[in-house]
Amino acid sequence: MKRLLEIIPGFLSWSILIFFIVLFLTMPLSAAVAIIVFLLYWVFRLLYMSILLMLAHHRVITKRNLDWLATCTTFKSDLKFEDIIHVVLYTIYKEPKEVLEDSLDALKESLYPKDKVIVVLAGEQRDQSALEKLNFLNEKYKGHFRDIFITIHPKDTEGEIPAKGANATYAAKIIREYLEKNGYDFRNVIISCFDADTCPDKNYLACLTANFLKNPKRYRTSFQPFPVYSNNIYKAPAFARVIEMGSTFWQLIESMRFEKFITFSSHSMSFKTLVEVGYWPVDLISDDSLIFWKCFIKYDGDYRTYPLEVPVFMDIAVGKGLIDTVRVQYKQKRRWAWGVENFVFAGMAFMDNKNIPFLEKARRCYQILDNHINWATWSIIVSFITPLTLIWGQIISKDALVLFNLTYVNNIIFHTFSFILILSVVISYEFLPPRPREVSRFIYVVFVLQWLLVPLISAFLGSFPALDAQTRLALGKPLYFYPTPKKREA
Amino acid sequence: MREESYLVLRKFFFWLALIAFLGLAPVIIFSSLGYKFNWSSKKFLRTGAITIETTPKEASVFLDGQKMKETTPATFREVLPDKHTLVLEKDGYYPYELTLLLKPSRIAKVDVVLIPKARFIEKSRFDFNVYRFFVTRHIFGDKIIAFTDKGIFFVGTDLQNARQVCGIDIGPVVAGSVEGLKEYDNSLIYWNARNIWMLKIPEPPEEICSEPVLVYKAQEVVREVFLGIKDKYLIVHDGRNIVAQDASNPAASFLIKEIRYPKAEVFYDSRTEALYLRDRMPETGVFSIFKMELMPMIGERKENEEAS
Repeated sequence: MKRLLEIIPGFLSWSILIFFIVLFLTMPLSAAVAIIVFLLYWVFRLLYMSILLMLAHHRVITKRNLDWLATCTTFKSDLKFEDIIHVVLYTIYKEPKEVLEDSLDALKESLYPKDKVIVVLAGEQRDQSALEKLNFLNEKYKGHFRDIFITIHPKDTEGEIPAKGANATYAAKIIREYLEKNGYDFRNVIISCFDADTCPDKNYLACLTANFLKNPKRYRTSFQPFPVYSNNIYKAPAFARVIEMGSTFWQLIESMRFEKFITFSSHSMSFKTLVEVGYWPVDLISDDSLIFWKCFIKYDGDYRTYPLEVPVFMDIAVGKGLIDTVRVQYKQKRRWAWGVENFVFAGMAFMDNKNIPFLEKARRCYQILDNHINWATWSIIVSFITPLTLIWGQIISKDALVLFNLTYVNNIIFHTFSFILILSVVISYEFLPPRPREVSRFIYVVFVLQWLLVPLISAFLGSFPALDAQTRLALGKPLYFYPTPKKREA
Repeated sequence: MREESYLVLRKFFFWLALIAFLGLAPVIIFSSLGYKFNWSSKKFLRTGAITIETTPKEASVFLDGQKMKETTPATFREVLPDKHTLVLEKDGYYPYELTLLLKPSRIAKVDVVLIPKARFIEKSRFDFNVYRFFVTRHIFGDKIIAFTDKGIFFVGTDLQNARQVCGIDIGPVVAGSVEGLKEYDNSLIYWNARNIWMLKIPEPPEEICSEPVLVYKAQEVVREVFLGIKDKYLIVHDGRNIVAQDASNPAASFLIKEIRYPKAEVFYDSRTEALYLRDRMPETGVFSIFKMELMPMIGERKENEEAS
């Protein structure tokens, strides 16, 4: 059964692509009709997503100036603000200490009492420099937080794969011992699992606490900030900026679909809940999204993710040069697309769970498949199959009206896309950090023009990695956890 | 704005987008295939489209006599499948006219280069390849008869009007060989060096033109053809004989005279129905002029044939 579930996403994606290809080769006029329907579907879907993006953007900017700390302290909750403790867990593997320093400096600048924050730096034994690096940081930031300590995850533990989830779980178990030893009530502890390059917004902890206190189902909720990849935005290549900004937009769009929203990358949750569900998965790559599904299954569907109104700032994945950056981006996106394993995980768990209604299970499975299959196919169909259909149709039947109208509909989608690009340019400006002095003002012109790269990169760094991941899953080829290289230039 | 408000707005736009897609998709698909609802007949008709490009651009477009708002390059959708007349005009350029047949769910592409006007030179604006033309004279005015790749046309001498009288393309080889042409009783008679054809011009509402009929095949070379004897006969000088060929009956022909000299000159006086011939007398070898009264000659021949 597990193998069947692993095959389904790749099978569906390839079937859709092969269907369109066979159709345009054998019946180009019918292919034109099918593509018209497909493009029309995407016109409306993109317009709908644009509206969601605008709503999400509105939600964020209207709360930008909110005094979250005051909200925490004045809100009447069954929990006391004074009792709330934050554990901020950084999972680290080979990131240079400069990256971690930036992250910890950002945490230090939070508008939140630092004596309520415990920092845990979780390193890997596989990383030769881990101990030395983490000890340095431990010494440097001691006294700035309630407490700070390090953990080193041993390598080659049975039942684990070398992945972030295994490291985080190992650290969480040590955190549990620490909390128990120091008499902390897990109900008052919020754990935030961050990547090494995660710089939380200065209001992050306050916003998180306020929402935790306000939420009557706080132990049935994960809290997800939206990631903004801007730490090195002025140094990254244009195409990488566009891709990562697209990821931010996608998270903002998804945040508007409250009931479907799941955790991604850096996120927070109640430590009590984390313990109850057995921590993050140690044998799967997509620990960030799978923790949501673990909770969802555990609590029979009574679990959701709340989209926080503040961001965390992260690095754009870059390589040594332009070509290497393409390689790094491809691998990162393929690792993200490996989130399709959620379908397998959820599907297997749903079969054993008799308490979640069937319709809810079906809806959730459909939701995962819909996201991943669209991810793997839509830009290939739009960027390659549609033009090929037009060209082939011109050879076979140049006076067919439907082929002419396909060009017309294609132009409509292009104009819709242009509207979305303009919207993207406007919204992306919201998240730009201040320009360093050494960077020319011309960069702002580049920031506008870079969006013209979208049609080119959406297939190569969008659909292809997703299709690659699904195909590997279907063929039973494992994907190893790829730690995205992070760096800071002097 | 409260969280619930975002949820309401989201659901509103979701349903709006879904309904718009479900409602518009069939309309757009049918429209892409060329279907259009005709209110008068209350039926769906399969239409086509016409795209027009000209060099230079911004030529005015007249579709079936009606001036269109768009100038070239232009696309006209939901055009009923039929024959359409298109005229493209631009100041300083000769107008270009063409007739196109639009098929259902098809697109007719027109790509035309307009010819700039020269002073005192007019060009016919019609879209056909002219193989051969003749000018005929009438009491009502002269007329050009053109053999083209789209059939036979009567063209006004101002080159602005043309009427297709027959859709048959006799081909550039045959048309190029035609040496003369006459109009006869709703027919055209044309000939080359060996053959004389008659083509009946269909009268409306009949539209289909019959193939040209070969009415005479010369023994040598068709040198002269006259329409005579009250315009009922073709008087043919074919280098060996002068023959009267009944124009309405290819089987009926009468030998008027044998000719001694192949290049004998012939003149036909339609007023007196007399034929004048300069020929060589076999006895002396001297050239003389002969006069033949055709009316009584043909009358006598007919009586003899009827008697026999």
